[in-house]
Amino acid sequence: MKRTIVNPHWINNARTVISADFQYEDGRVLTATISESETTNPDLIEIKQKFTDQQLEENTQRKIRQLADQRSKDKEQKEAQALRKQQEELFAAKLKIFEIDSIKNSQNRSMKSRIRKSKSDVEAMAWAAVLMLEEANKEVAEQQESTPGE
Amino acid sequence: MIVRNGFLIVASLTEEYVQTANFCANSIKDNYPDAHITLFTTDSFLPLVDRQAFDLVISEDVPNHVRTKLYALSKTPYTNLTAYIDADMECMHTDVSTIWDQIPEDVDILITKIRPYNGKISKWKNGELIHHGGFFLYRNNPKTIDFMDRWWKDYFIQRKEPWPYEEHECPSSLQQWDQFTFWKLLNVDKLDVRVDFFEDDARWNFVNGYKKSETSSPIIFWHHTVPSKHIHIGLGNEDARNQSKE
Repeated sequence: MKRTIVNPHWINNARTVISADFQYEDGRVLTATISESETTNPDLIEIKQKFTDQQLEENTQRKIRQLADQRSKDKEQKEAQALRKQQEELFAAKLKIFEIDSIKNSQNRSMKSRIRKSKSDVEAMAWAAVLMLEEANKEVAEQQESTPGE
Repeated sequence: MIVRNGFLIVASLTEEYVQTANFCANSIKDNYPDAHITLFTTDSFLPLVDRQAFDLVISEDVPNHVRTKLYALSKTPYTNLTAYIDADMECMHTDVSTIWDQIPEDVDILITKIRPYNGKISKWKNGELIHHGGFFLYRNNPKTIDFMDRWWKDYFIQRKEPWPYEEHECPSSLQQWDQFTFWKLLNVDKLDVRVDFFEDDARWNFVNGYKKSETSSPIIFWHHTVPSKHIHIGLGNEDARNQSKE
């Protein structure tokens, strides 16, 4: 069956192993990996007849660039997902903190701002604890003030 | 009291949106204490509203709809510029105070771009959604206010009426999106408003899921996604009312 060799390129730094796609008329695409030591391999012979060393090197450089681009995209995608997860967890934690009555009803705007601006859930919780303590102390002080002295 | 410029936030459908609206408004005040902020919400949610966070709260006649936002836009209390901001956004930088300087004189609506890699739908045979409806700045002039009014009315019809387009021409999955109405008003009805994009737009509306490389400057608004976002997207007014009773 008639076939076309697509994008043969070296896959090792020593330039001794070639990979290429063989596209057949029925639509199949087979990827073959061939070592230069297989001197009687018909696939290798055909590649060497149809492609110059320069073409093989250009294909190799293009493949290296494609792989680097793909790796970079994958890395960026993973980073975006991680950032998304981290930000959503932090936002959810902050919203939960502001559901606590003593924090929600507190008039201490600067402390509430610290909670909102926290860069991690631990930091947000720490500021929340400080504010809750302040509010509790205030409540005790108010109770003492309203209780007649002995 | 006449206020020239201010922020407009809308909270409807669920308590979650009131909570995020409270957080959003407070985060703006943290970074821009002089900001004037208006909330549109329904009477039922008033007890949940943080009065410290808002300078004006409007609830009279406000419908509990999946896009109460569109209802509110033409009713802005601001005489010059309004910054509409989704309730699930968070202000993170003091540069927010420069927002009123961002819009060129000849522009009516300044908006941010949709990133197709981060959106649900963006392109179909005859068009493409490129305007992100979650954050924009607009002028209080007759043609822009008329545009906002049409946006609400046409979206309402879009949701109520059977989808009038052939599926292969314009997929029915677009029916739920107010960005489609926005696109229609600009490209089919050809309303006379000038729309442009924020410079370095990602820092003004950094939507959850965007790549870090979208901006090299500090992010001003982070656009979160609350868990119930889009759950109610299928609701019209009646359904929304019933849903809120459940």
